[in-house]
Amino acid sequence: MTCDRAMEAYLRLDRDEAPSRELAAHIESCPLCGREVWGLTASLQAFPPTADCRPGRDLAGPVMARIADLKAAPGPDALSWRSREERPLLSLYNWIGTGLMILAGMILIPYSTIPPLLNRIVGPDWELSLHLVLGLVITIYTTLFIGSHLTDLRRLLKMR
Amino acid sequence: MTDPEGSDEAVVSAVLGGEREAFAGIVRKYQNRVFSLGLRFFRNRNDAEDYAQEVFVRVFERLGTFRGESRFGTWLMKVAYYHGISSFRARRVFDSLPEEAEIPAAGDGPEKLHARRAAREALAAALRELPDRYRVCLDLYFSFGMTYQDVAAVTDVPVNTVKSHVFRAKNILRSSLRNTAAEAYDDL
Repeated sequence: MTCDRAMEAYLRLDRDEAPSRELAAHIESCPLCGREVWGLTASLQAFPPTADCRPGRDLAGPVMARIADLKAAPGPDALSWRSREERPLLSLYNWIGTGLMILAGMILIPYSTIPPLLNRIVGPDWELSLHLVLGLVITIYTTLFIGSHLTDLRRLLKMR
Repeated sequence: MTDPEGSDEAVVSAVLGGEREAFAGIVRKYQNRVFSLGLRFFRNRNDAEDYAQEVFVRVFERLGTFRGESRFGTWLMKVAYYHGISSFRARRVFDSLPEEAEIPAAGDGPEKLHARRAAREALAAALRELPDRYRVCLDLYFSFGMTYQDVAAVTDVPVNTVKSHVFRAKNILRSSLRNTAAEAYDDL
């Protein structure tokens, strides 16, 4: 291992990551690299850990006193925060995107190769089958959307 | 970072549910970190304490905007970081080694103490040469013990860019510290 490669590998190490055996051996045997590594390690250790920096007094008292003076308090109804468990799997943007894709699909069907294909497979009554399928897709989409937004719905009803 | 009395999110939930007093637990848990960040923006303890108080009041006011996309501690540090930047927008000083933060190790003799100071001065000089964006990433990563992901969330910089900043900062420090007291410090 060359000195350049050794130093590059050392600098790429994560905070608590141990050097590879090859790198450790090089640092051990090369006085130049060893000196640089020790100098840098000592320097980075000079960064004061935040646990050692304490304010002169407990800040909870003065902060809570200032909070008590605040007129507006954060309330659950005005909040967008929710726990990880409550958060929907898909964001609203994804829901809107999916809805638009379904809508675009419905609009574009007459212009596609699907109608002649269905005509051949299902016969002249293909429009009824297609409407049934589309109705099913829209029902599933709406059910899933409402089901995954029950918390918001409840909140909305409560606000009214 | 786990809390023996319950997760941060549970405490936040309680505060949002109307238990304002529960917020004192958040203040006690994070005051050292926020104060420490304050020391980097301001150079004295009084200003850093005032800053920390303002940050916590601001966090309380904005608690409703916490969406749980990152850990609460990371979100809080982001609020603190941006409050610090906006407070000092004109000066834009971020001191990675504030004087007030120097803690002499127990049992250090005068020789070791002198060497420590010299190494510290060499490091401070080397840090001053670093571009701000590198220095902030390096400090949050080493001093605050944040992960690359946390640093990225706090500074709004992509994770790979944070990694690259930390790597480049270490490389610049390595060159700057060559043949200085910092390099000799470990020999003592």
